[in-house]
This record gives sequence, C-alpha cells and structure tokens, in this order.
Amino acid sequence: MTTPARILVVDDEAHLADGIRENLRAEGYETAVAYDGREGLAVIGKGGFDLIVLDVMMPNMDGLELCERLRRDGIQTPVLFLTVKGGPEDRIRGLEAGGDDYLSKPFHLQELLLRVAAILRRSRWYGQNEATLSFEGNHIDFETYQARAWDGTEHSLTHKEAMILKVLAERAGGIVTREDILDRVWGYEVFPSTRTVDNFIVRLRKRFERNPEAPLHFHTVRGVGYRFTRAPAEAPSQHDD
Amino acid sequence: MTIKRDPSRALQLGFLALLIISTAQAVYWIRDNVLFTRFVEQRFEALYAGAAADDLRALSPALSDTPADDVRAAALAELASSSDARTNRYFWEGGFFLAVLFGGMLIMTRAIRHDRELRLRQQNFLAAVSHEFKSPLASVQLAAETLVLRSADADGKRLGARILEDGERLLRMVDNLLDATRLEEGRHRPTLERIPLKTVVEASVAEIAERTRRHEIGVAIDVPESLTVPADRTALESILRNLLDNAVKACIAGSGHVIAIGAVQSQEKLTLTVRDDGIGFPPEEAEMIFEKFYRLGDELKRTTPGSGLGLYLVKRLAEMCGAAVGAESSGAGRGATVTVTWRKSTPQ
Repeated sequence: MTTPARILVVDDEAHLADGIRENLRAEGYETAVAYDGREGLAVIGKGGFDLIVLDVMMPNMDGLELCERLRRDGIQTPVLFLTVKGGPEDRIRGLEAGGDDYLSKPFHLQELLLRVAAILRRSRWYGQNEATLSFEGNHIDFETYQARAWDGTEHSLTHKEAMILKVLAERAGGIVTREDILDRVWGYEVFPSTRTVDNFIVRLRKRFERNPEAPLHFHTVRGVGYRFTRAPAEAPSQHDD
Repeated sequence: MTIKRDPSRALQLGFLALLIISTAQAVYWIRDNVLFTRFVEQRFEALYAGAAADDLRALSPALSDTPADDVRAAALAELASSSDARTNRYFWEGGFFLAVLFGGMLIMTRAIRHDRELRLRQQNFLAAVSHEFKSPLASVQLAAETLVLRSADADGKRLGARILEDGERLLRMVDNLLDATRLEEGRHRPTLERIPLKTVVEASVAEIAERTRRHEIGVAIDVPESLTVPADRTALESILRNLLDNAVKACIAGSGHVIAIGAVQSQEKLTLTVRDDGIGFPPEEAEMIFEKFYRLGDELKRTTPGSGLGLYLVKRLAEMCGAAVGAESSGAGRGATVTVTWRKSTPQ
C-alpha cells in the first residue's frame, strides 16, 4: 500500500460516524466524516475518495438517494451501505441504488474492517491493467463506464457490469466459474445465489451480442460458469437460456 | 404457507358484492311489485267495465253518493290512485332499504379504513422503534468493540467485552421481540430459497464463540457441506441464533460443557439437531418448551436469563419454512436435544 485509501463516513448518528472514523483511521486510512446526506454530497463533490461508508436512513437526503445521485452523475466511488434494516429486500434495494456492499447495524467492527479492505482491494484490482476492452465492434471504456455496442448504441454500464466484463476479459478464452465472479465482483456473500451472475450475463449479452440467443462471446459453460472469447468461436456455443 | 392477506381489502370487496346483489334484488323486487300492481289494476279495470253501478258503489263507501253516470269514472280514479299509492310505497320501501344498507356499509367501511390506518401507523411505529433501539445499540457496540480491539489497558478490554456481551444480549432480545411481533401480525413474508446449512451454522456458532470460550463449552459441528435447506434466510439465522443461545444458557445453568450441532439427510427428511448436556427439562414438558413465555423452573428464582420467546420463535419460524420442531430430554440436569425437521414433501 503506497498511499492510504481515503474513506468518507456519512451517518447522522454522530457517535457511530465518529466511532467508525476513529477505527478506520487507526487502521491507517485517511478519513473524513459527514453527518447527513446533503453534507455528504457536498464533501464527495470535492472528490478524492476511494470508498464511502454510507448510512441508509438519514435526514435531508437518505443514503439510497445519495448513492443514486452519485451514480447518475457518473461518480463510481464504491459505496458500503450501513443500515438498521437488514432484510433481503433492503439489501437488494441498496445494491440496486448502486451500492457495492451492505452491512446491517449493529455490525461487528472486525467485519466492517474486513469488508472495507475487501472493497478497496477489488476496486484497486479494477483500476489496474487495461482500461478498455474491444471485441467485434464493441468498445468498452472501464474508466468512464461508457460502452459503444456493435450496432452503434451507447450504454452506460453499472459498476458491477463493468467489473464482470473485466473479470471475464482478463481470462478471455478460459472458464470463469460463477463463484469466481461472485468472489471477484461482490467479494462477499451479499447475494446468496449464483443466479445473480446469470442475470448480469444475460444483460451483457443483450448489449453486446449480435444474437443474444446464440451468444458468440459470452458462453455458458453448463454447470460451471462462463467463458469469454473476443473473436467468435467456431464451435456452436452451449447456452442454457 | 400462512400469509395473512390484508383483511380490510377482502371485506371491502365483499361489501361491494353485497351492495350490488342487494341493489339488484331491491330493483327486482320493486319492479316485480309495480308490475303486479299494474296487472291487478288492469284486471279490475276490465271488471269495472262490465259491472253495474250498484256493485261498484258497494265496493267503496266513498262512492255511495256518486251519481250513476259518474260512478265508473270515480271507481276507476280511486283504483288508479290506490295503485299509484302502492307503487309509490314500493319505491320508498325499496329505496329506504337500500339507503340503510348503503349507510351501514359506509360506516363499516370507514371503521375498517380507520383500523387499517391504525395498523399501518403501528407498523411504522414498529419500524421506528426498531431503528431507535438499534441505532444507539450499534453505537454502544462499536464503542465497546473499539475498546476490546484497541484499548491498551486490561481493564478497558475487560469492561469493553462485558458491555459488548450484554449489548449483544439486548440486541438478541430486540430482534426476538420484533420477530415475534411481525409473526403475530402476519407480516413475516418469507422468501424461501435453498440455503447451504453449514455456512449459516458456522456463522451462528461464531456469534456465540466468545461466550462458549469463557464458559468452557465445546461446540462441535457435524453438518455436511453439501446440505441445503429450503428456508427464509433471516428466519433460518434467527432459528439458529435462538437454538444456540438456548443451548448456551442451558449449559451455563446446568454446568454442561458440550454443544453438538448436527444435520442428517435421509430419503424422506432432513434433520437439524442441536444437543447440549446442560440443564435439560422434565420429559413431560417437551411440548411446552416451545410455548410462548414458557420458562424453565421458577420465574422468581430465575436460574437462566431470557424471556421465553426464543424457542417459541424457533417453532413459528421453522413452521414458516416448512419444518417441524421437536425436543427431548431425559430429565432435569441431563441435557436436551432440539430438532428441526424438513420433510421431503415440503414445498421447493
């Protein structure tokens, strides 16, 4: 680790926000804190954060809204949601809003620290290597999350979609298991099912395959995972959907 | 699965149906009577046409003084007016009936709506309470954990651990209360999925690790990696949390030192077993321990901490996931075994 990661904590519970901040600082991170959504937005606007620890329920602007707003503005800083509600539907809402991980309050300090480290590790990996991917008329820019598909359509990728693409592209030609993808992209047991991955692949096919029903790039390897090929393969692909 | 639908919605639909049927019935009744009156009137008109003036006079005392030439017209007029009066009455009666029915339904619908609003407010209150409980708890827990993790002096660590432990107990209690309330309101909407049992067991065991270590209780897990159960994730977590919490308490109260968690799958069922060598219970109370607020022994002495909600929740949540619970003990002081069994015929 060369420069310490910068982390912003946004929570209206001042004691909790300060507590998290102190612990992150003790772990060697650089930290800042904001006590409601609007303040958070202002601080994030100044830029330079590697991770935002974001409370969901807050006055003025709640965490989900804040996160949605960031993503809309093209800010892809990873977000770790904290919330009192911990049901699966809350979890899904948080991820839909563009969050990267989710921790329900009260949480264990060690778990928070582990997850923070895991998210940072993933986003560091994401920032490495090639910044673009091109195949068969599709062009993807991993930095701006913009993609131009073979048919000329422009797509704004979500963070997860871009990460999945990157995992697959990194091992182009080889098989990547669903668990691998979950591990690299989600990193934690956020979703219980590997079906989530399948849904993402379906979406990627719709965007970048000439015929999503008969994929030439995103192959399903039945019962195992996926294989990405840049150039269309000779052999007909197996697909199960 | 017993998911209670919103009853006021069904009632409103029922009312609407009743109103339509009643209106149709009343309209039919009015029409039928009006037609009948009309029919009788016509019959009489025909009779009057051929009747003698004296006969007509005899029909009504009011006609007794009428001259012979006018008597038929007068009789017909009287007939028409009485027929009109009758028709009128039917309309009034039918209308009144419908008005009363409609008014009654309006009042009841209002009452139901009011009741629903109240329930909604209660739910919001519940959500708010859970937030209000958990937020300060989260902060307390974090502070305590920070002490445990980072405090340089032994006292800080020791006291932090103590705060942490009781904070966790409080949290379990809040979770259980919320679960119980939600269950009773029929608001627990389970999403059943196949969950790998071992990971949930291990996570739950990790939660009690600190307590078992301090009380020198050994925990053995014998759950095959491949086993999955159809369950709602939060419900399953709650079931295990409560089963283990219960086993730890039983061990502490009965100076037991072993908790064994096992799972066995056979052709027709999957059984999760949590066994302890703690305080146990009289065999005849095996059914009762799953009852709400049931607590072992004399409440005044309070040999074990708790509210009597834990196993009740285990039972209800297990049933929600399509499983059955059972318990056995060969007597006080001789340990207990609690089982959760999924039969193969359960949905999914």
